Amino acid sequence: MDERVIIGVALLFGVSVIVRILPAFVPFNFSARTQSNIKNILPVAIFVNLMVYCATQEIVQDAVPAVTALAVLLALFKPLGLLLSIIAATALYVLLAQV
Amino acid sequence: MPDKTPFARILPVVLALTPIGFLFGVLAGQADWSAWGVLAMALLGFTGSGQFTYLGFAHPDNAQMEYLAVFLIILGINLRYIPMSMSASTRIKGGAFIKAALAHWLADESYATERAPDDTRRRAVIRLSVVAFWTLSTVCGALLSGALPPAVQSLLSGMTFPISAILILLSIDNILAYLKRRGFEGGFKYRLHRQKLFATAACIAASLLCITVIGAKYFWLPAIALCYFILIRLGGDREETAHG
Repeated sequence: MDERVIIGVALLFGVSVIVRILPAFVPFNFSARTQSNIKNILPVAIFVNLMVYCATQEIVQDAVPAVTALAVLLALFKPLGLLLSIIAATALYVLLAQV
Repeated sequence: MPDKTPFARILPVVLALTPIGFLFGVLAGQADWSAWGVLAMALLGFTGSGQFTYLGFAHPDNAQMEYLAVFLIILGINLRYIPMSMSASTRIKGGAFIKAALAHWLADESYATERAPDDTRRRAVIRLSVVAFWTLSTVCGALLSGALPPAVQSLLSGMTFPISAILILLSIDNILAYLKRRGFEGGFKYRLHRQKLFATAACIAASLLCITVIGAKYFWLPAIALCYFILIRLGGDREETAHG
């Protein structure tokens, strides 16, 4: 196996140890309210940032196809469900990106 | 979604994730990575954004690669997993190895699909399904990279949209669950809904500000901390959410 690949695997595993494995073992010595907030409020804070990050990255890359496809995605999510709405929005995105 | 089996819940997500994994495999194959290398990277390196970033730096044309800088950049991109792992691991039961393995294989997609009542087994099904589909698609991409026509390779190279779409929809689903919840006293529903809506709008504005000022690579921890503070101060809620 290529040396760069081996180093890359080790490097990414090291990142995973720092950001995912070690935090899973952090003992919760917080107050009951703080523990409740970490369980209940922190995920919402993460999801807001995840949503904003994904939307902005697509819009920065190719604004018109991204905004149009995201609008279609949101409109179709409820009637069509997750997979079909993603397929329809992605097809539209690819079409608009090639125009 | 709570009545569906965990695999039925994650299936549409992993199907949409598959083209991205395939794309990674194709690009890795074009950079002369072996299928074994791609397999090891998918299982042990398991982070989509990190894998694509490393692949970009590890290109054969980049002779002077600074590993420490690459490590710090990928660490910065993945800092969002620290709060995710802290909040999602509270429901994982079992020995240290099981807890460590499931923490390592936590992804944005699995985090957004898991629900509060999910036990360790259901969370394991969700996380391992993501790993399995991701690994399989990346290895297939590497094996087929040489056989794909240039037009298909060109089309795949711009396909980050499906994964962004999944994460946006799953995030919205979780945020709506938070907005719909009743207040802890049960008597001020309308006022609390408005409070939460206002707090969420303020969080979106704060997140956009952080991305603009700090940049998309390093905004995660400051933005999550700021949004957490805003939700605590303005949201006023004590009930369980997705990862409670």
